[in-house]
Amino acid sequence: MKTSTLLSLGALVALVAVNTASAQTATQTVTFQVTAINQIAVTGAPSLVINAAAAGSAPTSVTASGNTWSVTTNQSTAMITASIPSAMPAGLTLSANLTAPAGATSTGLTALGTVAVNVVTGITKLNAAALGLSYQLDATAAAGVVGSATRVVTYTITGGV
Amino acid sequence: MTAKANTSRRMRRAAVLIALAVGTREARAQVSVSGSPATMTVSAAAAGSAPTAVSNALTKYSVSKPTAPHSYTITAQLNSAMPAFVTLTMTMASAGNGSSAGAITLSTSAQNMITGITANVSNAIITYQLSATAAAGVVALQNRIVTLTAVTVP
Repeated sequence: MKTSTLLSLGALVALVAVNTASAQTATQTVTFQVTAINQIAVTGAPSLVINAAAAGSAPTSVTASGNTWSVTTNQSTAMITASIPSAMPAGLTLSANLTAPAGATSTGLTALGTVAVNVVTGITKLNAAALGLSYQLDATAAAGVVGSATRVVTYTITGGV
Repeated sequence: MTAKANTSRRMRRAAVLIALAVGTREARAQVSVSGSPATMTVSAAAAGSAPTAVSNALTKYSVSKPTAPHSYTITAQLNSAMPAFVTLTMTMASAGNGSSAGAITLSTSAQNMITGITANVSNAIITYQLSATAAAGVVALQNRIVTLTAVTVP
């Protein structure tokens, strides 16, 4: 093969190599994840006063509605518990009733104590806002007159799986 | 082989080489990036709302000037689909050259990110946003390769 032929073939190979190496594309690697998310919030600071009764019956219970709660979880079978930091005075019962979001279950009107109790269970991968939340205060006659007091109700969301 | 035949062969070879050279010039739609974004993690939400999306606008891209009368379109695509209910969007700033399509949800199909690039683009910002619905659940750490391609137009 002549030298000129070899040179031409060499140029051909070189040009093909340039064509192949030409950067038509560029790449980026995007690394991502979604971690467990469990968030709950409530609105409202209800005030409950028992000041009436039907003669012959226990004092009339009172209810505070118009409060709301919201939740976001990306886990399955999450639950909400509620507790108060100190026991209610003797003869008084404070209860909470949370409306369950779609697919979950509310325990309905549930008495609150210093031990956390379930109020909503089976919350699975959802976000729901402004769900109903009401409180009820009950008293027996034996409770007597009880001065103004407060209890902070703590709601806790426990992630599922 | 006669001298005439040799000359003819050399001319044909030269024609092939010229064609390749022209093709090579049009193929030099150089697009480059400054690197890959840091890990993006969706980890928070306001109660009652969907998980909070996260963004990264710290990487950049550059594109070489096309040969007139051509322009470049930059497309982007993923190597595999995102997990269900997880969305990765990308915005390539036009930096005064070409027209940005704005925030585009990336998929395994190439989509136009910028069209009509006629001059050099240097270190223009790429913005990624990762969002997820609650239905996505917990998504383990993983990655996707985003391929940017410079397409010569016409």
